[in-house]
Amino acid sequence: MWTLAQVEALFTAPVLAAAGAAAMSVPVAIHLLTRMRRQREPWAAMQFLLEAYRRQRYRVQMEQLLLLLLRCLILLILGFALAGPLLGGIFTKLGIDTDGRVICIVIDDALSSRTLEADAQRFETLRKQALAVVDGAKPGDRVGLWFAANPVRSAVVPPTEQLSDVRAALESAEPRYSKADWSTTLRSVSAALSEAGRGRDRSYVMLISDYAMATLDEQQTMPAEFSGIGDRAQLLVSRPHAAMANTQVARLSLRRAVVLADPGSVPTASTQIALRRFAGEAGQGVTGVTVDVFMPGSKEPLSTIKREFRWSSGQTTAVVNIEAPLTEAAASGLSDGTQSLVVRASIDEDRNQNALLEDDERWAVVELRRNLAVGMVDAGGTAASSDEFLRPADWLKLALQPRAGVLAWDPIDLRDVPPGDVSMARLQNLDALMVLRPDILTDDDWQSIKTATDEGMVLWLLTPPIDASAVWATRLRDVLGIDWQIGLDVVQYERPETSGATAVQRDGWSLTTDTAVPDRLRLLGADWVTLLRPIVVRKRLPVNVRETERVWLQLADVEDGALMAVAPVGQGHVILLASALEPSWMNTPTKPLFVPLLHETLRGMLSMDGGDASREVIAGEMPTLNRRWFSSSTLVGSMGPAAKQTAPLPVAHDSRQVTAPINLPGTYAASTSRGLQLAVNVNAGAGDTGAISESMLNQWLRPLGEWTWLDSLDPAAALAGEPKRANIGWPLLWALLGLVLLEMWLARVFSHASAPRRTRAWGARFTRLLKGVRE
Amino acid sequence: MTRIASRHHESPYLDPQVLASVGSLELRARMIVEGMMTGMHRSPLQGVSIEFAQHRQYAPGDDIRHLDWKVYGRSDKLYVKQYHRETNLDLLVLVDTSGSMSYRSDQVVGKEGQPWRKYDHAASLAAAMMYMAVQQQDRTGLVQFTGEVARTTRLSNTREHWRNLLAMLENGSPDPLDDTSVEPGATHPDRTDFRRVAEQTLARLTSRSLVVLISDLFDDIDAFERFVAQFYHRRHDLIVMQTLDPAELTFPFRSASDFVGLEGEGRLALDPNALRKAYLEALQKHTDRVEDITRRFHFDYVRVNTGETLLAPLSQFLARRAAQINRGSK
Repeated sequence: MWTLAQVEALFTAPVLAAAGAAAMSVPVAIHLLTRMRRQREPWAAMQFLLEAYRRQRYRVQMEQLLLLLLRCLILLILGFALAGPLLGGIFTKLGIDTDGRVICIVIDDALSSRTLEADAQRFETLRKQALAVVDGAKPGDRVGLWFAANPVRSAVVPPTEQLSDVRAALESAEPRYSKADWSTTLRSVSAALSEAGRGRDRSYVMLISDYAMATLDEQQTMPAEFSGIGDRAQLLVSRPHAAMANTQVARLSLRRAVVLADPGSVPTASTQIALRRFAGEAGQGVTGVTVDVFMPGSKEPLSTIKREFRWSSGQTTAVVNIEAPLTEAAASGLSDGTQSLVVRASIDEDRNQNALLEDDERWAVVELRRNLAVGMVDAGGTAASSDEFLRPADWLKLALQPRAGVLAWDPIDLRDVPPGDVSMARLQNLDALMVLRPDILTDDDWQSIKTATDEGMVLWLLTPPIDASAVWATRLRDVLGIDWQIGLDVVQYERPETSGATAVQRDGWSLTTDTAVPDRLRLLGADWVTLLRPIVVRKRLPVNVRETERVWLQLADVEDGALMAVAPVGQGHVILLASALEPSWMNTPTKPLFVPLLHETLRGMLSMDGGDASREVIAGEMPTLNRRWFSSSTLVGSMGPAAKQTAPLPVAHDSRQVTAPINLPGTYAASTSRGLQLAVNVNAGAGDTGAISESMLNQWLRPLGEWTWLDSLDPAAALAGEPKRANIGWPLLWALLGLVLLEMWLARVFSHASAPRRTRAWGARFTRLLKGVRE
Repeated sequence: MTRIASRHHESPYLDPQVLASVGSLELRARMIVEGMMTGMHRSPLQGVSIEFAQHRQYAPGDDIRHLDWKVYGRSDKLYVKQYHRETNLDLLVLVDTSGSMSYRSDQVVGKEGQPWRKYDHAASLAAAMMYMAVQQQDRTGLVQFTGEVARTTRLSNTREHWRNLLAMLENGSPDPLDDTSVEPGATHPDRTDFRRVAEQTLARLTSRSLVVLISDLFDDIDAFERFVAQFYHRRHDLIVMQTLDPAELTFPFRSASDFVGLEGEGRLALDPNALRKAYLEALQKHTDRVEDITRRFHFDYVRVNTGETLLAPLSQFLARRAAQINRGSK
């Protein structure tokens, strides 16, 4: 159904077009009237007339129909030609649509658009501007709509003429908690422009954003592929909003995300809360910091700890450490050995210093465990060892279970895994697997280990105390996909020749103390150098790791001397110790480093805090869950804004990836088990409410090419200058002339072939008249 | 060989427009015959009789065989001898009085707007021919027919008989069967049926006769062929005068009309412009066929246009009559 506005887009004078359309009925009416008011003609030679009629009936009907259509068309075209038809509008209606404009509206619905300005969110202002642009679109224009927050939402793509769809998408939109992803957004916009294929005069790109400082993150520089986008479309940019003061919880870190609960004590969650202030005066002030610990799904906290932090003048960042007791109640609920608890850190800030409320709280999940399940693969008693020395497995057991047999509770539940039977059934419930004899693993063992590691298990490979070629090390590349350069032959330390008698003589390689303490071992930071110095390595496998941050222990002055390196594999990690737990290989088992290294490495790897995607997710992401979520097909919102998440979020069965973006912060639980919790937080970087200057914006937009400001009071003004549309009235009139001639010719061919021409008849009359005058 | 005056010497009495203005059929017939005789150089009505009638001064063009040489010898003047002939000719005129003969177009009207139907033309023609026959003491008769023979008379050569024939012609006007309620193409019982007419007419003819058929011949062509064949096999002489209105020959209509058949064919709404060519082709085919059939049986065919003078049909009649007299005299 055509609307009046659509018709107006087709003609400069639509009334005449309507008249032309109405005039089409004239030939039809004449035809009908002629049929109704025929003259009665008595006729004698009826048999010949009937014969002619029977012979010519269909041809005559077709000719009459053709002539009727032609006459109707002539009147219609006459009306249209006089009405000033606009080529663009017609092509638009025909689906060719070369004249309609393409308007790409990009709205920044990132976290900063939730900033309150005069009791209203900035997003409302942005929404109004976008709606005004939509209202300014003409029929035939195509409007596309993108929401730039991560993940980018192409709400109306490809651009459509159905403006009601665009309005509906705008009106139902809510700002999100993530940061704008301009690269992805502009890539999509660029593709839409290319597909539309309009010239610059008929393409518009409206970037409607508050342009908070968060917009110009250094990672958001314009990719080169967008250079010149301003040459392909008219680029209109809204003006930056004013800076607003904001204080946020930038980070909530748990020293241990997995806390092992000693039955005799009350465990605590050691939290570290990073605060940050954006914009404003950053003067002196007090911010209340609260840490609450909840049982999953409970609104009443198990414990609440409050602190006040006093800002110094000019201070913008701060870190507050709070120990939150997890209470006996929580520890006593460890019926199945695991209890997830939710930790929330929030701030209480003066409204004048805090225009953005959504980043004032942050969520984390702490896991209370009775112990860790660690498997151990060893060759049993077959390994040769002397009576004087403990076997590597013995060293390991002593280190992991120092109080075994003394106390009823042991933080490490050590389980033997026989080589040749390393199945998924055995690995499924293990947190870590320590392989002392990787050389005796079968192919199936390696495949099971690979699968388990992909799903989150920590695999610790120790070099066996064998001088034979370490062919097993090739499995790191072949099975686990780790591209380290590992020499297969054991390297033995050779004392260097020394000429000076004063030189300190050592009998092995020492560890370098120049490298930083690995993040996962930061609790050992204070004693790190002291712990490393006594270590001497005499035999080792040469290991060269390009990524230095993955080398936790490095031999001094040896290029291929990575002693302990870590690599992520799937959702798990692989740790390689390049020497054996034998005193003849290295003295580590007998040194103070050994026990804390084992425990901190295992706990650190299994209870990674904020950086672990399996534990904390930034809003807008689609995370992949670890193997403990194996039975979960959906996620449901549990606490915080996530509780408003009405629709369960689906989880892929095979990959365990959440297949829809998690937009709301808070905590989520598995639909099948309320015990497992997933913390989702806002993107702290998106909360920078500082304003950017127009010059900065200009610098940021420069790669895009030419651009202009979008009038904030009348955003649709940019569309008012309607591109010139070709009036095809004259061509239509010429076509009309052709049709008239065609009609005359056809009418003569069809019906008047034997009739005297009117001109001839008039000529005869004129001749008679002259004759009469002469006479 | 009979020659008639050239066209510019034609009498106005032969003009249908003039005839249409004359109310009396008798007067019309007389006018026609008078007009026919005007300008004739040699009459077939004299010269072949066996009983001398009178002398007449020779005029250029007279047959010199008829010169009376004795008178020339006596008076030195040229006289031709004229005889009273004893005729043995019977003339039977068949006039179609079916509905189609009632057609008249606007193209043929009297000077005062009087209508001139095809039947009027046919009746005038018949009356003139019968008048000439009676004048020559030939017996003549009249048959009027529609679907069958409607009226008929005996053969006679008296003037009283001729007047009766005129009255019959005047009273026997055709009635149009223009019923619009019937489907187009329907067949009416009163439509011309030559088969029955031939049967009924031949049953009354006892001697060889000159039969003149005056009709528009809007009938089945096969029936007409059988009609002609029957007359041929009975050794009668036949002149076929197909009487057509100028409108029927040109189909001059322009605007869409409801054409209503005059012989009960019903109504047909159409645009005449679209069908003109096809109609004229159909008509031409029909008339050509009629002429072919007539000629094939060695009879004469005359197409009588009611908008034209009566010279052609009358000349044809006279020539045919002369030929028959010649045959009879041999």
